[in-house]
Amino acid sequence: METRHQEYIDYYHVRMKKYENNSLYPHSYQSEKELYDAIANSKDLEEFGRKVEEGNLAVENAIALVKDQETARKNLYQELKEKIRLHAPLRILDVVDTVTTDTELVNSVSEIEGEVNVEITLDLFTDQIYHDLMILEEIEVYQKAEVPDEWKNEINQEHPQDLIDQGRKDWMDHVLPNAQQWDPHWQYDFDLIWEDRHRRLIPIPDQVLKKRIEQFKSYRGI
Amino acid sequence: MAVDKAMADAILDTYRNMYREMEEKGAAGESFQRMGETLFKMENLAHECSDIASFSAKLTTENLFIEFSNAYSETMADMMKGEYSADGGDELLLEKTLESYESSIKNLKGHPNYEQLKTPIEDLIELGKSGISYPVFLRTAEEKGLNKAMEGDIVVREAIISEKIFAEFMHLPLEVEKQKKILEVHDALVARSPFKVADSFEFGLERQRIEWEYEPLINHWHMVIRLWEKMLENVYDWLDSYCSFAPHDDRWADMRGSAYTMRNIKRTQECNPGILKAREKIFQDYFQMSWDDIFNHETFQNEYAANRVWYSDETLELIKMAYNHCKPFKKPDKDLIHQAEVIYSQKRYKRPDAFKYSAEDKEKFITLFGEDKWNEMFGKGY
Repeated sequence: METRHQEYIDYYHVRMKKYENNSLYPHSYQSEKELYDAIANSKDLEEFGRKVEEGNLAVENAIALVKDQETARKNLYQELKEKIRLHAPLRILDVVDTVTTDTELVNSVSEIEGEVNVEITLDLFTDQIYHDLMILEEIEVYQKAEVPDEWKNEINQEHPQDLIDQGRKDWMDHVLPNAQQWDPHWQYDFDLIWEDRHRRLIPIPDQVLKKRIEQFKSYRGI
Repeated sequence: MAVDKAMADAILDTYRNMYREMEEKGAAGESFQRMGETLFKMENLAHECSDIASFSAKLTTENLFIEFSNAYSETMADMMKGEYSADGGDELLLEKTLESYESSIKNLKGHPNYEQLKTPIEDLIELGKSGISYPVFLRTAEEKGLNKAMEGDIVVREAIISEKIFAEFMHLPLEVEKQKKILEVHDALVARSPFKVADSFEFGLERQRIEWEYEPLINHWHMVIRLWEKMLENVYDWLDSYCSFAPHDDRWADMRGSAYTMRNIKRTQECNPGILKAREKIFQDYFQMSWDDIFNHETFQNEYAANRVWYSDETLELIKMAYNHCKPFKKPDKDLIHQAEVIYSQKRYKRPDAFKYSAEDKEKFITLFGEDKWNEMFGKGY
């Protein structure tokens, strides 16, 4: 055996060992093993080259790594109930076996990531209610404050109404146009607030949140 | 109106560098031309858009990031094919690999962690130039974990430590706890790795999990503080509004004249108890907490230790006593008003160390940003 051939066998052996017994990379280990077996059982590097080409082993190796990583991401997002982020690994895993070249693999992954990033950005607009909580509290405090008759109009009516007017203007001038840059048909979806990934970030009881949602609709005019 | 140049550069420089790098390597062909066309569209959008939010939205929704990246990977693949098929064999591959490492060092120039990031790449270049063959180079790089080190693991670890020190400096216990867990996970992955370098992909997942776990806890923490801060302020202002100094105090003084000032004072006197009561209801509705729960709560203890509760101890005691009188349509006790006036006249209402940093805080800040930055922000005498 030529020295160079042996040097490559040693190199592929190290690559295979890197993934051995690592539960995160079962496909990669299998693929590295195929490469190692191919070179170790070839009489020379030319034969190995033919095996790599015929079996598309280099591309299969890249696919194996993507499969392992996307499976791990899928498992994490399922566990964390991150429904929108989960779209990326699911869609990648759906197409990964259909690609035949490394360029096609890279392009498919980046296209899916790009689409899902827009979905994530739009989904994050749901958290506007969390960002508005402080002002919603102020509106409630002023509307409900027990004050002498002399102050009722200013404290219970005018001041909260000023806050509401500002909130509606800000929605029309900033929040809505900003969201619609990402999707021209975007409208706030109140049901999403109750989905775990958003609900968990608002640390108040359900009945209080229901009240805040109604207030939020009035504050933002939606 | 164009997007702010510095902000547009922060986004576009990466793509400009990628294009320039390919151009310098003599890239040609349809995919390289697409790289140029896409970059041109990106540059145009930077001039057409009025703010960074719309610029970034357009780059994404018009698929320009993806178009560029796809064209880049196709250009790279074309060039690699050309090099592989060239009659240079392994020697040429080694040469091209080392060239690309050298060029990546050039691209790193100006990066805040330039020195640390370039070291593992230099190690690889040195290894490649040591006279070994291409497969031995590849194997040794794998065995020594140099490929993984090149991903910047050392910088990642230092960044976590810096974030932890910054959280300690800011007295944010949950942030400290979070960074501590991230560091532990990182170090456990290093220990488990055959090359003693954390698997960046696995670490990224673990980090996301920890950040996910802490996000609602941190939200809860800040909301509790926000509510009790306003409750304390309501009572403090209410008591002071009855004091003889109130007409001269900035909280009520009105540029339009004394009649307005007196009306401001009257508003605080008559409305703050009702406002406080409404705040207490929210505190109870949200967290099932009442006024008496504030002072022993971990958030209050922490803010006090961080010198962010600025009232002096005696003012805090006065606030607690005044609270018992701060009910709708009620007034404070005369003795409390007198005590508040005495404290005010001797300027004892504020803690001497309010918003000040301790010697340990200073040490942490200097560790992170250096002594010059400390002197610039807080003065040499601090």
